[in-house]
Amino acid sequence: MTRVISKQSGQTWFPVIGLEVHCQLRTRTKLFCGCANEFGAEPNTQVCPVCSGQPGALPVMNSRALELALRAAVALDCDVAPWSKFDRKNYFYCDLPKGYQISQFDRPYCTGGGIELASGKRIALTRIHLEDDAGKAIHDRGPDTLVDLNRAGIPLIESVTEPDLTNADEAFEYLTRLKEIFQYIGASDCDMEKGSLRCDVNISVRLEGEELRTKVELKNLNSFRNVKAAIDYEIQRQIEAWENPDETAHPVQETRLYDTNRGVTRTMRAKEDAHDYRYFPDPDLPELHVSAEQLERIRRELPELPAARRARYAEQFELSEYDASVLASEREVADYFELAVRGSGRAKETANWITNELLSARNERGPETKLEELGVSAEALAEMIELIAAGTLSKSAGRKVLAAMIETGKRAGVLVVELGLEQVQDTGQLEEWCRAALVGQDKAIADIRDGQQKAIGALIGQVMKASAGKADPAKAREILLRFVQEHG
Amino acid sequence: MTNENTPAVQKCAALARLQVEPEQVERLAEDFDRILDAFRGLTELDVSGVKPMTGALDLQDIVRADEPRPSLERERLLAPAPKVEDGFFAVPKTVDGDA
Ligand SMILES: [Zn+2]
Repeated sequence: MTRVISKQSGQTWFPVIGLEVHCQLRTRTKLFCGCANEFGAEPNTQVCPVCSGQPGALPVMNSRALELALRAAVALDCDVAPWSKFDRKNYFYCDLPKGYQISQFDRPYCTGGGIELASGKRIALTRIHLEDDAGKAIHDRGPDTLVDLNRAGIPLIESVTEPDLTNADEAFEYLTRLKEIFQYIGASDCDMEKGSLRCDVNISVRLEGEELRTKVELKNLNSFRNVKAAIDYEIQRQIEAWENPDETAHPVQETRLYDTNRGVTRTMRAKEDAHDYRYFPDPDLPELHVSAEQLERIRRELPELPAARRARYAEQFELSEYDASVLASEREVADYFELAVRGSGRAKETANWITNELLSARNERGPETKLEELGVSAEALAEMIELIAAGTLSKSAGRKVLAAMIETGKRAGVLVVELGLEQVQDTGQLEEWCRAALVGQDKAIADIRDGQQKAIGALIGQVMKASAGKADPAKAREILLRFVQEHG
Repeated sequence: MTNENTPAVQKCAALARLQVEPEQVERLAEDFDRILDAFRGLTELDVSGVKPMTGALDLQDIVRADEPRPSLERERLLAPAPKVEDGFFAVPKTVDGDA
């Protein structure tokens, strides 16, 4: 339970937060018609009589959308309803050609479930339901509002949490976990920039022992960072508003938009009847039934989820919590790691090379880059790690080899020879480098003799530099220590 | 305007974005009376033990494969629109939301 102490009054307030997350399902076609579900097409080129709401056009459910929605439900441990139905949510807006959204009202396809945060706290889900997306209205290009219906009819799942969250960090973590899971199971890209994940926040604050106070809905949150910032801002705003002696300044039930530039939330002007949706069952769509066998098959086919992998990596491979978390958070990276460990047999080294080198190389190329695009297969990485373990290659030379592998696509064994990076084991050569490193280092030598082992590091560094990374640092250390003892 | 359904008529008209003239409201309110009466009759029936009905069709689980089909030609889609701009439908600016 997060407490927020008011700066003005010293009172203790408790934030109450719930999230509604819309995710576009990764199907090839829309929910009720065969138009393509693809981002970035020319406006109004992926629209047909069904998704533009022409009279007489009939919707037919996409079986893949149901499959992906059920995967999401199983992955989040929800109770899938044996049958559900579709309802019309009626409202007028220029991006909604049918005049209603096809959604699920009183019989969603699943209820319950939840996500556990790292602290062990579980954020419970109220429900998830299937619905079709609205089109896109653009307001900032000229005097008119411009409408593109390509998005109209794209399948969405909306997951609604209980008001279990109490601060911005929990919201951020919940969203991160939800995104990981949906990406893992192939249900959604969850790309906020492309609008395939959208998040609304319900938020209020209350005093100890109180019932819930007026809640406010926050919209227009286009990154996880903005969700966090908007929640932090809104908690403070509401506390100040409640503590204002003027009652007319108190929070009211409303929708507020987050202004990214100014970092504040502001009232969205809306018509009062906007929320009278007059739901009723969609007469064009029959009931949807889900059998126990179907659910069992989906459960069986689900990949191991990030939380389970994280725990297994820490346990089986003795990885740090951080490494386990980084590796498990994307399915491609996790699969790559496991394949590389199978090849090298060295989990910790493999984890380090992936998290320190490969992922930074990938991130440098941009957020969309896949690990695969670096052109270093898991087997190739395993080979390089083996070369280091065998003493053929030093770690620092390994870094150069890996960079060359990314650049050329060649295998480590070939590059070691081509780049002349084979580790020098020859004692005569090593001794020469060590002797040179000790010249003029009387202070360091005295420190080492005094038992200050730290001083040796700088000397090894000298040797590595002189050898262009080819010296075996362990041997160099031995020789340096011997020389220091013999010295003077 | 004595009919108790007058506010309901006005609300429905507003939700449906219909402009209803004052003289029409009275007549519609009387229609509402008869329609609502009919439904009131339904609520008096004993339906305990009757399975709730979700639709008039005796169908369930009608699904299709996730296979793309051609969409409309954009020109055809946009042809009936009162105003078009750059391949978009152009409509009067709406105030709420910058989604
Ligand atoms: Zn369509």
